[in-house]
Amino acid sequence: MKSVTNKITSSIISTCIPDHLFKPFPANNMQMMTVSGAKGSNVNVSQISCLLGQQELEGRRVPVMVSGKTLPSFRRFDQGARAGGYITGRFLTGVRPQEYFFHCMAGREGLIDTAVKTSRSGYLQRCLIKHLEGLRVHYDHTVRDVDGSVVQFHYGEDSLDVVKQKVLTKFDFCAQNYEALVGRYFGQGVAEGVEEGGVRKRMRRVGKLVKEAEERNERLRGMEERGESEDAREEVVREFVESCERQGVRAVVRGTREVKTLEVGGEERVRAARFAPGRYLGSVSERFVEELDEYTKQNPSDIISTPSTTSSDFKKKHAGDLIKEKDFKALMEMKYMQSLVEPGEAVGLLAAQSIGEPSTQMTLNTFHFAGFGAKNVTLGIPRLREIIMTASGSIKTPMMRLPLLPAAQTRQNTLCKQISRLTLSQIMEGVTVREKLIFADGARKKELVLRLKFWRKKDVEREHNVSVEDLEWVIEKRFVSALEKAITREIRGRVRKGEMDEVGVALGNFERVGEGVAEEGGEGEESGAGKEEKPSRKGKGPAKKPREVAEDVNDDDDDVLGSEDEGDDGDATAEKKAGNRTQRVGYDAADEEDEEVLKGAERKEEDGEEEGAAGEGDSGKDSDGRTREERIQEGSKYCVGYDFDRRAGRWCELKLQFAADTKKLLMVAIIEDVCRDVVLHEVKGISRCYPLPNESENDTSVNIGTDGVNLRGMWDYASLIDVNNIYTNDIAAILRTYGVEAARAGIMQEIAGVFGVYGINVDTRHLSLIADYMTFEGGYKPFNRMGMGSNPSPFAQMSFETTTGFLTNATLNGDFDPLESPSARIVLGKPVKGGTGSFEVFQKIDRKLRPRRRGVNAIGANDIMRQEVVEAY
Amino acid sequence: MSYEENERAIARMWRVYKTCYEMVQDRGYVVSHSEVNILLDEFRQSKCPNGQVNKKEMQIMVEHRSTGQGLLVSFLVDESVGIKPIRQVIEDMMVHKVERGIVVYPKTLTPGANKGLAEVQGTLTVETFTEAELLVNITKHVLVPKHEVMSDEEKKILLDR
Repeated sequence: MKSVTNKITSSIISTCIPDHLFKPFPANNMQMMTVSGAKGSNVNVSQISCLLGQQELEGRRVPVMVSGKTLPSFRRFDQGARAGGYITGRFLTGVRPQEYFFHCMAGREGLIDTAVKTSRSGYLQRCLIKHLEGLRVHYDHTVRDVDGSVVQFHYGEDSLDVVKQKVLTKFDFCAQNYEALVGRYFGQGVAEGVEEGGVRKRMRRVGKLVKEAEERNERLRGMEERGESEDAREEVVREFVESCERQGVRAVVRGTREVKTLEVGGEERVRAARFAPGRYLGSVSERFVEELDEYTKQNPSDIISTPSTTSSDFKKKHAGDLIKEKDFKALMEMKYMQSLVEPGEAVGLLAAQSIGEPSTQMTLNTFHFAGFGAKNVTLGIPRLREIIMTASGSIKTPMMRLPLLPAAQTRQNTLCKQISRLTLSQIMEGVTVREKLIFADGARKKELVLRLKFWRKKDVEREHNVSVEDLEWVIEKRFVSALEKAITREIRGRVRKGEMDEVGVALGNFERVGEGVAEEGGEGEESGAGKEEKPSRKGKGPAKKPREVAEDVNDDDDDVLGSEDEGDDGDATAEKKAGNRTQRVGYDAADEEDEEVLKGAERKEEDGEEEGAAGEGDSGKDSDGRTREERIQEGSKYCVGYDFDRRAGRWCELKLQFAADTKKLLMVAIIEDVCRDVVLHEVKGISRCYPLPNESENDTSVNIGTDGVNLRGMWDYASLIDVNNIYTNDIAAILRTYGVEAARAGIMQEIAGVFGVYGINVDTRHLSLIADYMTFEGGYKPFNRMGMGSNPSPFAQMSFETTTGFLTNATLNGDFDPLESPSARIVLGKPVKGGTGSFEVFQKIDRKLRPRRRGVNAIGANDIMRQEVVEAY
Repeated sequence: MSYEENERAIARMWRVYKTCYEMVQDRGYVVSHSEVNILLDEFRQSKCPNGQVNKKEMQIMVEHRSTGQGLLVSFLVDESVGIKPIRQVIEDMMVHKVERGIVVYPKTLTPGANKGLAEVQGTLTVETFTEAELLVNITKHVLVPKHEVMSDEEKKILLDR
């Protein structure tokens, strides 16, 4: 519906604006305003002169009330566009009352959204800043935290200032303004103290050796094929190693015993590894060298003198002389040096703000359903919080992207089915339960006959690749024992309290009524089968909703709390928690949430128990010689009969007996639940698998996506999947399987992706710094209280959150604060050690100038007196 | 074990075996070309004498390129490895006079085995991997940068800066 109406809306707008306005562009003052960019946008224009279009609440059309209407003025279950919140009116001619109301609803949602959002992104930014405030660039180009631990060896990997590098690669501009730039960078005194230091010479040498290594590798391969003697081959290797040694370049010998490969040490090829970029001209990033070479080769404006450019070409376009390639390169290298980030720069703060600021622009919209079957992932601030603030081990929407190998590309769909989880309920057509009272073994008993009906064998085999034998095996091994468990639990009446209290009562009733009918309908197979699906669905639907909503509203707390619970010692008493909570109120309130979390944990525990027990039930009844029926009867408390349609696999019958006084069981509901849990096949952790459409047209790879992550599980499909290109958004999983460097790359990619959806481009230097900070301790460090634990400054910790907690810890451990971190220095009223505060001045004081007062004399025992910059001025 | 399952097991062990070779090669041990690039059929011929994987046959012994130190890679058979196979590995290492070892086990190490390993950890260096971990060479993944072991000289240069 939405997609249809949206198409209409945009077609109306595009027809009307700008060509069919009553007054076209230059004469139309409103258009004048938006086109010139003075104020307003196309949205405002279309709202005034075309129509308002579809109004959305939480990403959907206007919801219906219990009465089935969206507003009292509409008819019940009106499917029309208007009733769903489509506004055909415009501000110029006015809107109808109903439309006005819908517009107000959507408008209010927007307002609420903004209100909620600001606090969220504000807190996010605070967390980032508190962690990164101490990071600054040092004189050796490293980025270090206050305690001197190295976060990056070169800021942003090339030591360039984010602002200055913007113009650095505008080579054409620089070439055109050559004269001016030379004056600026090589003017009097500017270039003083800059050394060339033999960077170029050395790099030329290394370049030659790299080439030589390649040649020799080729030669070695050839010699191997020709079967030349080992000594001869060894000689080739030795020559190379020796020539490297002579020139002071590290050589590496790799390869196998037969075919050795020669290489020049990786660090030799990186200029900045040996030469400090701030000191030696020409020590620039490798990418810069490439780009510069590319430019001089292309020479698009014919400014640089190369063999191919003649001065007549040049004269046509420019005044003055051609620039020598060498001179231009020197200029650009000088410019590179000038564009280096300055020591003392608080790059941590810059990164934090560069993430924090754009995150305020993101709308808090997680409901991006791009149709059924496509991926549906958390976006926006919630996702950012997941990656950055909680460094979550279990993210909300984990997914994987599996690129297929060329050989397997036609098998996309089959593979999807293989990997997807298949439960018994998916291949079941229905279930009927017949109940009667019988007399057996001298007692009255209730006998229940369950008949599970499956889809046709042919279909099941084709669709899910499950044979009848597999099916029967699953029923015997998994279904019966699971059913048993469920029944026992039901009889014992161990109904989970929490669920009943919260959502149960009213809805529970409803369910029961439906079920009752299904059961009492006894002999009539039809009635049972027909009804089994409906009631429980209705029961489930609304029951789920409030929980989801609650989670969304408070999800804030859940993260922080979750991690806190981990961190606290075993004896984390309620008292302590209460204390923590009161402190936290300012940042993230709402108490229901932790109950939610606790409940979640309980639920999980119970699930775990079930699984374990079911597993036990499985084993032990697998001796041969008995029929399946006997085995089932033996292993089961209630089961007395079993039959299976072995030929067509259409049905399975189970006969259960209970004592007559057993309380009434809602059998259909139980079976339904069990069937949903009984798994025919799955890759652990993965619930769904689907073909992924390609993002761009010239991308010819074939990918499949999964909900849920299990990287190792995918390795079993290495013959079909390109395992070296698997991608996942679960950073913790990357960390576990591929290591910390991959996790770092994943963090960068994921953060960039979150902003990318909104068309925001954050500089990679900021992203890399954040990713490096999160991973430089070898793990995945979150930007929250837990991550703060490794901060060396107790003052910084305390000024973040839970002051007393950190204070107590610091006191107990006898920690001290070296007063290096910005927070600590502000606490004590000292200037922060960043920027111009990052250095101090030692000044030699002339004896004569030294004040004669005695107190100072004592300090001036040696002739050097230490003064802070502030005092020196 | 059905034929299909057996085939799968062989292919699996073949991949583990290859990854092991790639790993020791990356660590600077000398391996031969045919060993690293072993094909599935070759593997089946040499390591699966009667159609089934013989993990004893798979044992790998390599020497380091520059230091000449030996390294022994052993594949264990038991699903849950106890102290006995570990003792055997240690003994093998003694016999071959190597100080470094890699143990590849199918599923789990018992606490006893762990203890046995911890005891010798001072004199010998033994690393453990599960087969599942070595199914795929993770260093070949796109997100993983190339790792190089630093030489002492390089360490010095870095720390001097």
